[in-house]
Amino acid sequence: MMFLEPKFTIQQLIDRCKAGERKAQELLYKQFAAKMLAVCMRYATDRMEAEDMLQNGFIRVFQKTADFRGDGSFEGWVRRIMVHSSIEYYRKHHKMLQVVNTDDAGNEPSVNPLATSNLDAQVLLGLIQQLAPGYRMVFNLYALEGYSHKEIAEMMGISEGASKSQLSRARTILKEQIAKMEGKSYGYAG
Amino acid sequence: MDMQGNELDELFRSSLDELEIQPSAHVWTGIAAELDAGKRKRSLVSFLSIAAGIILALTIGMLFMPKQVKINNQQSSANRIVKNASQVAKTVPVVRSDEQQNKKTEKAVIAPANRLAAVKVERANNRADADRTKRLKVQKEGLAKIDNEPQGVLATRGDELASAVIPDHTGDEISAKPGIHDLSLLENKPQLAALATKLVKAPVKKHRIRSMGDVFNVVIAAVDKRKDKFIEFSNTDEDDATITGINLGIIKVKKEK
Repeated sequence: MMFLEPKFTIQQLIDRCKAGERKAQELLYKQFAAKMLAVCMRYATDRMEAEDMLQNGFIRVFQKTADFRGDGSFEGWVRRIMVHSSIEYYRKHHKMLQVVNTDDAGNEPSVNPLATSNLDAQVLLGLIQQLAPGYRMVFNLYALEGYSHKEIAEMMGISEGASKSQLSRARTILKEQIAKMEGKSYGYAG
Repeated sequence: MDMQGNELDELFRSSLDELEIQPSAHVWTGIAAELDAGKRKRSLVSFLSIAAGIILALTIGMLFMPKQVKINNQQSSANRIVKNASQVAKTVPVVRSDEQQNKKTEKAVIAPANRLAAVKVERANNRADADRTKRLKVQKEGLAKIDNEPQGVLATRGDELASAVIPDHTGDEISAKPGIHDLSLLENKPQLAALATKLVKAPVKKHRIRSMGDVFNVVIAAVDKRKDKFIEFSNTDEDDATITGINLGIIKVKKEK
């Protein structure tokens, strides 16, 4: 783990946060804010939305610090709260998921994985943000967070079939975008 | 070579895993403000619950306190005797002031002999507490005897008084007084000391504050020196204190026993 050295310090901060100590909360926030904003950014259309999600998420983290039992990493726990905060934000601001035609799912453009390995993370993030909110949510939850379609269906209040079709559609769009960029970077059209 | 769905997922996952983006400063400000608002709300709730708890405790205390006092009186008889003894001691100064008042009005009655003086003092005191002595016909008779026979033997008088006092439930003052005065007078007469101690002990044991009514009566008697007190309470063990007499100057109500 990358937090091997300061982990003890984080545990101390958690204990002080449980006592409601504001300074400890601020230090803990600073420890995770940048990483968690990157998570929220994937669920958001822009930085402003992402910061709203981040703020709501951290408020809940500090309200519920006492509930953290120490099973698994604290970072993972905070991350799950951020994801839920993002889902909540999404449900509040984008009530309807777009209905997709599942027939499109099979037609995926071909992309060379080796050629995409050096794609910048910021660029990939930009690609996700450009997806329609419904596609973006399902792709994030399934591809990046590892939730099953069943879990996503429950969290998002949609059917499992809708979750599957939206994932498929999101992947297709992303592949198209990557292929386009590869064509640009290597000087030929995809 | 085509990229499969899971390969695409892996590409995004690995690329975005290490990504960090510094949020704007206003995010923390917003978090701190929201947490402060929540804290204020919680502290108000806890303040209200503590206030409610105190009010509840006071209410319960006021409802059950009188009963507890009564139970304690009944249970700890040993403590009661000690308490009464101290109360008897306390009542002495009050009695003395009564003596002085009465002496002024009855100077002529005071006899030079110690024994006679004692009798007179007793009479005077009993007059001061005449409302009580009236209730006790036996005692009244005993006192009458003393008046008629001022030179009577102290022992006889003591016996009469003791017998008169025993059925009295009105409190320590009356019962204690004869004993106290006898004792003070008998200091000069060691041969009767044993008898006096007996006299002191007997009434103290028999007459104690048994009910809340007694407590009220004693307190009121300390303030109101009239025959019919401003307010009088029953002194039975069974019930809670009930009012047996009221004296508002013009309006007098008294329940005969």
